[in-house]
Amino acid sequence: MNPHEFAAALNGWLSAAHGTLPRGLAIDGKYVRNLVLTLCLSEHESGAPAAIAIAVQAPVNEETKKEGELTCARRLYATTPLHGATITGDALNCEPQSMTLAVENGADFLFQLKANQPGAVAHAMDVAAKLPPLLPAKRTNCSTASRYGGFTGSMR
Amino acid sequence: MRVGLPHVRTLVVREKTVRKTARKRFKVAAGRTAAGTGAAGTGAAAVLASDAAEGDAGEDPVSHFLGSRLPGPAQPFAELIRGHWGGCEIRNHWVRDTLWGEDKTLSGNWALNACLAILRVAIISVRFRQAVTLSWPRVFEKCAHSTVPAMSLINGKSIT
Repeated sequence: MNPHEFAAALNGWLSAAHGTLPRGLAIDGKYVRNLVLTLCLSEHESGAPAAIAIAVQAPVNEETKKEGELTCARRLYATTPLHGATITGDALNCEPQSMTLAVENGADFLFQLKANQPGAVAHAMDVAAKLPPLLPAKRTNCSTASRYGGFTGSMR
Repeated sequence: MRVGLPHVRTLVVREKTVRKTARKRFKVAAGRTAAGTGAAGTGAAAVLASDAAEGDAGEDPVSHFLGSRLPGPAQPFAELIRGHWGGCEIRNHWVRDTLWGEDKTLSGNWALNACLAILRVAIISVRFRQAVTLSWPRVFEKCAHSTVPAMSLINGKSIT
């Protein structure tokens, strides 16, 4: 049996039954004994999967793991109904293409920010350290917010 | 922490686990635009700082997050961060590894292990839909005792 076709069939069944309420979806990869890389979008409350993808067979190392996870994640964002969902993930997912795909498919995201986006993390540290504990009285808009620095080169 | 104000964006929570008690402070702020990503809706992003003030000594005390939601009260963001760990690691990966011994597979066949992993994921979904009141050990016990509950699950019926 072809695992990719099997995963696609299961994803179709899963997406046919999910509700319309807002939900949190956690994305994370898991190796089966350093052999098969699986990537699952799981609901926060139950751990129940919303979709699963299997990475292509490749030698196990840190680089293929990153690449495999990102490729699978993008495939899931493009094929899974995500309207109203908030996707959470680790710093590996914090890159422009994944964010764009998630938002274009109707989801919000919350990804951890680490040194793989040095410009963004430096700005985040600055914001978190300086701002007062209450929201500003005046609502800020996108153009105002854009004055707060930019992403790293890869994000521009 | 100021309680009761409409837009408090700082939240302090005390978490007690088996090994430690940690005080975490969540701060949410409008951070930046994701200019250049080309995605509508990523124009405003929230920067969240989670500060584990009394966590493990070797642990980085502050974590930062980037999100597409407009900044607001800190509580929903804190719940998302906690929910991420629970959703993937505790209620999915842990179940597959500890209860089903996924990593103890003796087969080196890639396709076989991939298909079995997909089946395990499918069963997590089935259990959530049709046996949500039962713990995993109870589900195993029932299905080991008789084939009727297992067949009910396969046929889309609930078991209690």
